[in-house]
Amino acid sequence: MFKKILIANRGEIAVRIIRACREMGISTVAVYSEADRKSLHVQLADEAVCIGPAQAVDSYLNIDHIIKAAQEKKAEAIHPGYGFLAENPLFSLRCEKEGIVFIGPNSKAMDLVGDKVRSRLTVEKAGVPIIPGMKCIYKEISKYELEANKIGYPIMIKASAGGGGKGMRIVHSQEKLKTSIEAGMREAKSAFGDESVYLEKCIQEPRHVEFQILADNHGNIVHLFERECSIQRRHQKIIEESPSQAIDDNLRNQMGEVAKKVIQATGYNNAGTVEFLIDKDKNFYFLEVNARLQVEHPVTELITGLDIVQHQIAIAAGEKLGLKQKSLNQNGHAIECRIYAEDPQNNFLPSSGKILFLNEPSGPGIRLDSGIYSGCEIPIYYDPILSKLIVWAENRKMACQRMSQALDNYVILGVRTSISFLKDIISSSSFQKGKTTTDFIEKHFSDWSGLKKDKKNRELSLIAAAFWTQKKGYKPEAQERSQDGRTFSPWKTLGRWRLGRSE
Amino acid sequence: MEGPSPHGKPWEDGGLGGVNKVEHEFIVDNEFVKISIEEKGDKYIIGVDDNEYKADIQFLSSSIVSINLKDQIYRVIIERGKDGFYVHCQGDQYFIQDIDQDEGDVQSSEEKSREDMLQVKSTMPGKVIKIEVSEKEEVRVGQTLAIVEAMKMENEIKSSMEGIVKKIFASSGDLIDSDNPIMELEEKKK
Repeated sequence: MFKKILIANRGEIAVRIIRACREMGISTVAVYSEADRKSLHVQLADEAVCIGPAQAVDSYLNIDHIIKAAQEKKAEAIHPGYGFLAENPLFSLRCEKEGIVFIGPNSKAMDLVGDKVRSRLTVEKAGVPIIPGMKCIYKEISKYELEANKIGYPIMIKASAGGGGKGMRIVHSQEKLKTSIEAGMREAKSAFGDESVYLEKCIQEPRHVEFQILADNHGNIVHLFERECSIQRRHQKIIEESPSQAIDDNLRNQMGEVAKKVIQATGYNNAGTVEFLIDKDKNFYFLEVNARLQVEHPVTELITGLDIVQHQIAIAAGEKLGLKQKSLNQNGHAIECRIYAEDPQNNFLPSSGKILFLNEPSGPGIRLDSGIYSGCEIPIYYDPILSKLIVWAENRKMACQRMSQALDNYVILGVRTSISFLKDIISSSSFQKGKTTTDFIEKHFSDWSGLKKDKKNRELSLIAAAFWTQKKGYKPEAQERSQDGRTFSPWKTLGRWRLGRSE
Repeated sequence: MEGPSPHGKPWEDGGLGGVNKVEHEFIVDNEFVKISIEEKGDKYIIGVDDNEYKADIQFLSSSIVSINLKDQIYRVIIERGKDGFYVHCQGDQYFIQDIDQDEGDVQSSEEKSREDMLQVKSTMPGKVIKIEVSEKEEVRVGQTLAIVEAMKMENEIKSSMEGIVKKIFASSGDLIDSDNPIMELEEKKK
């Protein structure tokens, strides 16, 4: 097993990985940009190295700086988290060259699954159902028009190197095709440095169901069941759950086996996710392989009881997967809400600033993967995800109730967050009925105003604000002055210590 | 904690014990709201919209206000941000803007920033490592006034104005928060 791992990421996912390492007795090296000096992951890691200025291109995306930090600190492996360099084959190749273990798939498989067109050809040959679409990338727009006519409208434009909805567009008619392709290319270029886009058939009433896979370096592959991630805003997942309401055991087994086939056909190893779209007639189509640990992995962890990050590390260290498909079970129901620093009442504009007050929900079946603490600054440079709130309960109904309560008790003051929006979705009858399609938000929440129905809470809030103003804030007694009465938890700020391994 | 001056004005009508009644104006959810608070013994009489309440109100801490309405006790979490109040009450969150501040936008924000310049504070709680100046000393823009350690990082606190150190409140080794000033500056007399 490794003695030291460098985590090439920030925020909640870096914290998540540091925790796994600590439990395994592995020491950790955090990297950070100048804007992240005071970030939680920097405080929690055993060592921390500044890798450059705030802009991600100069820090978290700078391969040379990260490799140098790993070498200086003698880290044997690098965990990339998600985003940034996680799916950059140049980075994993460089790690391989420098003799540093990349905790993720081999660079060849990553290269293959990262190329949406090539990966589709590969899995199609293996008998995996795919969405009708382009077989190669063209330079001329006129060729796209021909392809679009062949596939039939509505069609979807997608970035070849993409993910997370960037560069993606739906086109309903030929007139809009050219401008949409050009816009998609620009977006793809700025997001991924590669402007290639391709077209495919747009599936109606689609549901997004993905399978979590673990594959070791010895040919053993298991799937850890599905996650449904249909609740998306602008093609970004915001709520994920397992099990999916769209599939039964029969379809689940069938899709799970197909997902394993995809992994086998692409020569993929370590943790990965095979994404499918399901249409209203329960046809499923392969979408893509996400060659990384995913944001929503905790959902699977809660229903299977497994620690995916620890399995990733063990697989990367060459260990054999001790899991057998037959002995894996889906237990209960789990839901995740992504908490973003954005203002749902103001067009979801990212919100930055200082966290003035923080109360984190806790209780049975509640897990919070968070990258923030009371007093920390939310920088403007990165993805605005603050944390992920995940609940587990016996069944979906109870999980919804638990999530609703947990969101009520999650207080973040100082920046705007998506909590109120998420709460309204979870408690809506359309969500509770489980009729979740990828256009759910558009269909049910496009006119969401965020105005609350409870007049009493509004009045109480106003009373508090008036009282505060009248008293000019809280006046502590002189002897209390230095303590201030702020919520303070030593566990969130305590720095470098760990269990499990002596020096 | 330092706050803005009371935004309401005492009622001009002095009769019937109304001297303590102060009116406040806010904007919440794009709506203009007037609210009055009158201190009566250990209780408060509150007028919101057309409702009147008698309540016990107190700070439980710098961020928690307890409101007791007819023996129903509500816990309201409140923090003052740069541009208004962030308030959380029983799962609902509101952003409440001060109307006064909003109206006199230019002037009040200028005043505010001038006040910020005079009151030298740390951006986050920490420990004073060193005070670099002494009282009555002249300082220039960008001059280091104090060094504060927070989160294992040393931060230099610099002057954002030209002036004179009026009073120093903290000395090295002191634990400080971000609400109380480390020192106060004054403008140089011309």
